[in-house]
Amino acid sequence: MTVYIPEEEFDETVKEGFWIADFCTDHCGPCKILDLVLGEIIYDNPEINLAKCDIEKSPAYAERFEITGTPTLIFFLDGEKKAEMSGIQTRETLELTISEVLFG
Amino acid sequence: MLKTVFPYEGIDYNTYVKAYLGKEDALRSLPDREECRALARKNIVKGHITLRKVPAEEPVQQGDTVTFSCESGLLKYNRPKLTLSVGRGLFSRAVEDALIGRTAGDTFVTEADQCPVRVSVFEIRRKEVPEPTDEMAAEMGVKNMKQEPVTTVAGYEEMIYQQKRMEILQTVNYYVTEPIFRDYPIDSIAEEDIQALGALEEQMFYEMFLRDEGIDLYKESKEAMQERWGCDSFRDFIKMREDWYRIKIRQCLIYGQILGIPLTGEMDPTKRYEVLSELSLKMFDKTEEVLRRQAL
Repeated sequence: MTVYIPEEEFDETVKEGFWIADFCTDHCGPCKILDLVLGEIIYDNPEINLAKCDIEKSPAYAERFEITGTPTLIFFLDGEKKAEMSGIQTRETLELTISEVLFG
Repeated sequence: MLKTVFPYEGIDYNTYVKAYLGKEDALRSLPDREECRALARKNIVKGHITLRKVPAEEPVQQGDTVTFSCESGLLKYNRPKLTLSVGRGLFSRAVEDALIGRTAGDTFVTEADQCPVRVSVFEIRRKEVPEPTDEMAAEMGVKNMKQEPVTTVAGYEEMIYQQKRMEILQTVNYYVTEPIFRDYPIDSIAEEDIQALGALEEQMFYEMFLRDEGIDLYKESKEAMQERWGCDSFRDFIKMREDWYRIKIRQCLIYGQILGIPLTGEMDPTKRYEVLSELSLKMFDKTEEVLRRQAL
């Protein structure tokens, strides 16, 4: 599942299951590159959830999660933060992190 | 007028292109349209995929989402309930491969990490992927490279192609020109040119902040400037960027040489802020031509 959510709906959205929160902005080139990699992962693993969090549309995200640059990914399992990554990632690196968070 | 001169005879660009293309890991082709189309379509529909429970007699196929349990002496393989899409090995390649061909209700023993694992299959669900529609593309709310909203499937496919194309052209251009910058150092940059570039950038930033944010950078307080750029004033900020203006002049001179474009009149970087961007785009066109020739 992929959802585009504002900050006020974040906790309720990610409280169950495995979620990747993608903190991005509209005009960030690296965000667009990473979005394609995430898209392929979600397409192949529909049980993984993706929350797209635009830190310009919802500036409260940046302060709350101390986001200093985009793209930043934070991995949540049943509402608990498990891992964080910044910058463009390869599919292999992302899958390794997903695997560690879920099954490590 | 630009005072700094290119102090060499010329640049044999093709030698550098050949050197790059001769490398094992060189990018040699433009993105494949069909691959970009497939990638775009996957991205458009990713939020609209549903999982349908498959009938009891149907076996697990690659990509199915399977709910199962496993028991083993190893902690990793001792789980009462697990749901995953089989095939990518996110959990365990051995267990996932062993699930293929099984049906709901099956219990079997396989081996993972040299340890027997007893697996029971509870439920199998299969992906139902809708055809991408213009509405789906529009609801993603993305903008293309010209900052226009993307509202159709075709527009999204084109955006992905252009994005991939630029990634390749920027990479190839970087690796071809990086040794050129090293082999043709330009150490003597005229002070007037640095000042001229600073003045152009000062004007550009001033107008942009006034237009987009209603901020007059000359009237910003010391504290506000410290927070924004870590300096005391707008003029200090421009001064801080003098190294960048040196790099910019070097880039313009080298790109101008490679492209055969004299840096005069409209293409004088001390007269117009956009000259380096325009030269860079022309370099990408040249790189694209190289890759097209390479493909033939």
